[in-house]
Order: sequence, then structure tokens, then C-alpha cells
Amino acid sequence: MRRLLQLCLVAVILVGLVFAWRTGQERSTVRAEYDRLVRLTGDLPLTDPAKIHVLAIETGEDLHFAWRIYLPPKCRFVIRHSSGGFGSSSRSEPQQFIARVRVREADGRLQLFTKFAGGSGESSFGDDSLAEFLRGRWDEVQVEQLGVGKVAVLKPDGSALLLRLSLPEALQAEAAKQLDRHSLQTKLPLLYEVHIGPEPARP
Amino acid sequence: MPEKQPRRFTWQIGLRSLFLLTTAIAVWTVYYSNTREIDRLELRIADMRPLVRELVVEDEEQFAVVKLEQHWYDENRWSVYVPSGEFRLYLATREIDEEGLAPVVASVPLAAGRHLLAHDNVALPDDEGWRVTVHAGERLVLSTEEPQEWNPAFGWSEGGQFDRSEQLPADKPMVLFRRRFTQPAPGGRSTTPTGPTDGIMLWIEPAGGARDDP
Repeated sequence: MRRLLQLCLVAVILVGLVFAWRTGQERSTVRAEYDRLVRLTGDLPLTDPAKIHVLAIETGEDLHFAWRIYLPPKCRFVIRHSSGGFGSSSRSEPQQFIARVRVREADGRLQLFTKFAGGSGESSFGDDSLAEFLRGRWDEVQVEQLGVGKVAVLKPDGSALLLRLSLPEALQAEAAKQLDRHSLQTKLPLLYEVHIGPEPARP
Repeated sequence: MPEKQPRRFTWQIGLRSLFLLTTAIAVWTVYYSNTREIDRLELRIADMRPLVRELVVEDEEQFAVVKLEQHWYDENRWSVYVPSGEFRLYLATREIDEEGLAPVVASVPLAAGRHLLAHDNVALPDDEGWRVTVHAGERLVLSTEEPQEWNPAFGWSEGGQFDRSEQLPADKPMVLFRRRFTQPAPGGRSTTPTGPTDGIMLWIEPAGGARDDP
């Protein structure tokens, strides 16, 4: 009887070893694919699928900012730019997308590219003097970016600063002398900012 | 005097059996843990795969295409797979309707395999018109110029195609891009004409047809 039990256990172990080895191989393959995709899109675990999740993604470029964003179903996603621009989108299903804000200089002017759930757009900001002032100084600009290194979780109707580019104190005095403030579309030291969510109600 | 045998209970198992039982539990726990982890990772992969827009070729006899993520406004790039055979890439800039093809202004043979195609439309200096280009990788493969009035710069209409990798039969034209320019309308408004109009169209189809190089 005992011998029979041991033989059965040996059989169970052998079958289990084959299955464990096969799934181990498959797990390694799936894990490698997962790691590769995470490097491209970031890892966004949903702690509460009823809330907005935002994770900043590394782009490898100084003036290129990207986020992986999850929106819960029926969430009205609002974008507010410091220039006064405004956009919103809403879908009945949950959605994930990659949002981007990118700045580059073309023909002596600064251009801004934004891409969110509802579409993309291009606009210029500042004048030639701002482009000239910032040339070679972009690494000194202060950057505040939501979701860097940690997933930001927001209520569907919550608001948050997604990105702010501003001049550090060391550059402000010089900028005040050199720049035409009326051409900036914003107030120094702020260069550009974008919020997500509706404007908070004023008390 | 006979030695007294230790009493063995019916449920009692030996050390060897215990070891085998422990090993069996351990092996199947590993299997269970692997399958759970695979399921968890595959769910996360399913969320990420559409975001990276990678070309998936399951049937090598068909076209495959995916439009790549925009990194700048009006950036149009596609990752394309062309099956073995003779195929050409065609460009049209006039008489573009909502469906069907248009008169070819330029075309180029496209070898079998994977290609990165990028289309661009830039204004020439001093209002001299527009240059429409198509690159395959780093190589300029198609180019044409149009006068200033060709694009009134009122906007355009186009379908948002191939956000996800798709496969299409290779015996029919695969339209990558169909942009129809909005035209000025009375009252300061603008509208996209219902019939053929100016714009940009890019497609791949088998070579040897009547459309080959104009």
C-alpha cells in the first residue's frame, strides 16, 4: 500500500515538474515582454479603476514630457493650458493613452506640441527674445511634472498640475530685463503650465 | 522472547512518503504560482501593447500596418509589412474622393519586408507652394511640389486609421493615408467637398497595373 502511494507521489511529482518547467519557461518569456513594454510605456498598476491614474514616462529628451494616463469610464478629462487653451474629452469606456508635451525651437521661435486623449495640437509660445534667452539654458529651467517615479491617483473630478516649466530665481532678474513680458502669454517666472481636471471652485 | 514491534497507525506514513508528498506540493505550488503570474503579466501586457503601436505580422501573405505614435503635430509615420511579390507605393495629390483611389503623381517599388514610411507636407519659402515627401526609413522615395493654392490651409478631413496593427489582403490596395483639404465656402466658412478634391493620398498595391508611373 505504502509502495503504491509512493509510486503515485513520484508520478505526481514528475508530471508537476514538467508543468512547472514549461510554465517557468513561459513565465520568463512573458516577463521579458512585460519588461520591454514597461520601458516604453511605464508600469501603471490600477489601484482603484474608478480613479484617474497618471505615470510620467522617461523620454530621453530634455523638452519632451510624456505620461501614461488611465481614465475611468465616463470620466470627463479636462486639460487647461496656461495660455488659456482648453480641451476636454469623455468616453463611456475606460481608456489608456500616452499624453505628450514637447517644446522645440523652429525658425527662431518656440513651438509647443501637446497630445492628450482628445487629439493633438501645435502652438507657438513667447517671441524670438524668449527663444534666444532660453537657448542653451533649458537645463536650468525648473520642471514640475506629475507622476514622476510614482503613480499619481486622482478622483475623476479632481484637478492636478500636470507640468510646469518656470524660470529659476537665478535667471529671473536677467529675464525681466531682456524679455518682452507682453509676448510671453504668461507671467514670469512661469513659462508654461498645464493642468488636468476642471478649475477648482473658488470659495 | 519475541521483540515487541512498534505499533503503526493506519494513517501513519513513512519518512520517504512524507518527503515525496512535500516535494509534490512544492512542485505544484511552483506551477500554480507560475500560471498566476503569467495571467497577471498578460493582463498588463494587453493594456500596454496598444500604446506602443508595434507591427504584428501573423500572416506573411498579407499586408500589415500600424500608424506610429505622434511625437509632433501632423507627424505621419507607419510601420508597414509588405509580403513577397511586386508592390509599389503610390502618391496622389489631386481628385481625392472619400473612397477609391486617385490619379498617381509619383510611385516607387516597395520590396518585400518591413518598412518605416513617413509622409511630410511642408510649405516652401516665400509662398512658393508646398512640397509633399515620403521617406522609407532615411531615404526619400517620393516627392512632388504643388502650388500655393493647392492647400488653402483651412484644415482637412481624414480618417484616423491603423491606431492598432492590422493585416489586410495583399491583392487589394492598402490606403495608408487619405487627407482631403477643406475648401473656403461662402460666408467666410470652410467645408470639405463631397466629391473629389485636393489633398494627399498614399497607398500600396500590386505593381503592374494601369496606375504605374505616370
